[in-house]
Amino acid sequence: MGTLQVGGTTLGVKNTVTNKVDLSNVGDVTLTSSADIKGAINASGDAPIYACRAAAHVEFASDYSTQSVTKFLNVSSVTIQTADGDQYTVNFTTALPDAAYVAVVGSGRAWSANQRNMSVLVQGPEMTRSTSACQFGNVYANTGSEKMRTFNAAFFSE
Amino acid sequence: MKVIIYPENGTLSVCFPNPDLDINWVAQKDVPTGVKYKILNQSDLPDMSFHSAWEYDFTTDFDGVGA
Repeated sequence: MGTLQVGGTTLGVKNTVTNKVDLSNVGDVTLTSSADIKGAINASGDAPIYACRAAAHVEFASDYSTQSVTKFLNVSSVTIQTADGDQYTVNFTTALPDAAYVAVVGSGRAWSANQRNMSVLVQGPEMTRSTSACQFGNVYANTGSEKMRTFNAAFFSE
Repeated sequence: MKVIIYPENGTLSVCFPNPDLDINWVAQKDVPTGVKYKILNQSDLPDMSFHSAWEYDFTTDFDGVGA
C-alpha cells in the first residue's frame, strides 16, 4: 500500500496488487495537461483521442414488433418514423456540445437464405442534426426503405 | 417493454425508450412539443411491416403531451 498526499493531507491510497489509487474520498478530480490519459487507454502515437459522447444499439425481432437487445449510452430513445420511408431518430439524454459531431452508423437488415437484400442508413443534410437529436434515413434498393433489424450508431465530438 | 407512439407527418412514430430511464420523462422530452402521445406495451403493436398504415385516435385517449 502507498498513499497519495498533498500538503500532508492523504488524498488516496494505492493498492499495490491492482496498482490503482482509490480517490473515492477526494470528490472531483481535475487532471493536469501532463496526465498520461493516452497511456492509460493504450493509445500510442501522436494522434489525438476523442470521446464517444453517445451510442445506441437496438436489435429488433424478425417481425419487427419486438426489441430484443438494447444498449443506450447517453441516448434517451430511438424513434422510427415512416412518413417518407423509414427514418430513425436518436435522441440524446444529455445534449452534445455542438451539432458538428461525427455520426457513425452501422445498421442493417439481417437476412434468411437467398434474401441478401441490403438496407443502408444515411445521415445527410435532408435529415435533422442537432445537439439533442440526430436523424437517419433508410435507403433500400434505391426505391424505398425497409425496417432495420439491427441498429447501431455512435457519436463522436470534441 | 413499453413504447411511445405519437402522430407525425400523417403517420405514427414509434419511440423506443431507454429502459433505464423513466418512460414518462422520455416521452415529455422526446415527443415533439404540443403533440399528444400514448404509452403502449410493445407486444400490443401491430405488425411493423405495415407501420405506415397504422392509425390511432389521440382525441381523448392519450397519456400526455410533448413538452
